[in-house]
Amino acid sequence: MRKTLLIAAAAFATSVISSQAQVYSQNIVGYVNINLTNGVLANIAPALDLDGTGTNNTIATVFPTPSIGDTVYAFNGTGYNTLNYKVNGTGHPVVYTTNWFIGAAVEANYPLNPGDSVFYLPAANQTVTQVGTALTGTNVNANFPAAGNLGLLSSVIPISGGLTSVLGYTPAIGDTVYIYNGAGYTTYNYKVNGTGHPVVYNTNWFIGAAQSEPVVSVGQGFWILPATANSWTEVLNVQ
Amino acid sequence: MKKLIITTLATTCVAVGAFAQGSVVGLGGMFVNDGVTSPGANAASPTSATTWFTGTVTVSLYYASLGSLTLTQINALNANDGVSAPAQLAALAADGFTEVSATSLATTGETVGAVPFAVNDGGFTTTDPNQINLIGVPTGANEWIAMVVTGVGGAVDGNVGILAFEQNTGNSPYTTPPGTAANILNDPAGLNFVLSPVPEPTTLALAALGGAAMLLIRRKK
Repeated sequence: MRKTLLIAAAAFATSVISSQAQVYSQNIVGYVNINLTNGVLANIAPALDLDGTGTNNTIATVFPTPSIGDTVYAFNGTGYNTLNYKVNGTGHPVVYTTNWFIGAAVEANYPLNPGDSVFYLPAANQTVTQVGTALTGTNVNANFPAAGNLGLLSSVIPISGGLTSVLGYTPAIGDTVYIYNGAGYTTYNYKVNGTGHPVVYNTNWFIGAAQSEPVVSVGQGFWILPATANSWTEVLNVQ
Repeated sequence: MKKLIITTLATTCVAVGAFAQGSVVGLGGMFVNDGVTSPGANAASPTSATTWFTGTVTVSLYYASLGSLTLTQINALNANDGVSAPAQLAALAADGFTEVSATSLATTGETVGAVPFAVNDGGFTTTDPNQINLIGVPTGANEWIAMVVTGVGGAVDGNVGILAFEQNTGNSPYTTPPGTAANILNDPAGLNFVLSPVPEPTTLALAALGGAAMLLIRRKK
């Protein structure tokens, strides 16, 4: 899965000039490409926002050109809501409808906002092109789970990097992050690790005994299992 | 007879219940051209059936390994769709199918059994539970799955429609993080599920008694 972020322009939409002050409205707009391979599951996320609110994105706006047969698995806290992009037939004589469905119900408005992520099983090789606005300012991830519960998350802002060092998540000891690697999961534990004699303790992210911080790409999702009550706030300020 | 066979199949599956678990999803939208019908002319045919069923059914999924049966055996089972439900139930048992559908999404205490679905104009309309977990099946593998649809109430109460087909079993919903379910195939056997009557043992006994009595009468004459 190759991702490309092109934050193409800072659009200075409005410039109101008065004798006393200048007011600018700045939006970062651009697009993200996510390449998907037929039959290969991927954990992907809405990297950009539809309208700057962060709340009005749907499966149809995030994935505007799906292939028939594509499947999206959205975590609902215990299992998955499974959405299929398909031709559905109802009634006799049969009336055919092509859309996103859960079972027999059309679900084109199924919410999918930045900060959330889903598993996507494509029915064809394809490139998902997401066009939208980068959320700026201070953003609290609305999908962060309660202590001891799984959450399928992504970064609210379209920046890649270390979950803690770049994306600003402050972990607690006992936190676990699972990043899907195409075949299974790479598991990261935030813990106190002791090495050597006398023992030297180190508190950090680890894969097994190897210190390693989870790194998340733009448009990529991951699981988090927080050990204690926590939250994740990201800040993106535009100068 | 139907109850006896189904009970036997269900009991058999307990032995495999402790092993791997898969899951399938999308039953609510599995019918594109096919559906559930009541007995009638061309009831098994998706293109010419007219007796599309509306009401309530239960759905049970049965499993047999792909290597244990040939396509010819599966076709023979499906050929009795709408013709003889007792023959289909007998074939289900003879072919070694075991019931694997879980009745809930709970992560513990799963029991194998039937899941209720509402049907309208031949199609499943229920969206929850849309996912059915499969107890004791290999995960992520293509296997034989037989779907047993049983009528609930009305004129088709206890009637069954059975079709078998090759289906991926999906992943386990009980791992951390949970695995993803496989989509159930659309129109998997290319036939309608005809809710056909299954004579109860008492009915069969009465029929046999009547037949014997007629033979006796004819011999006396």
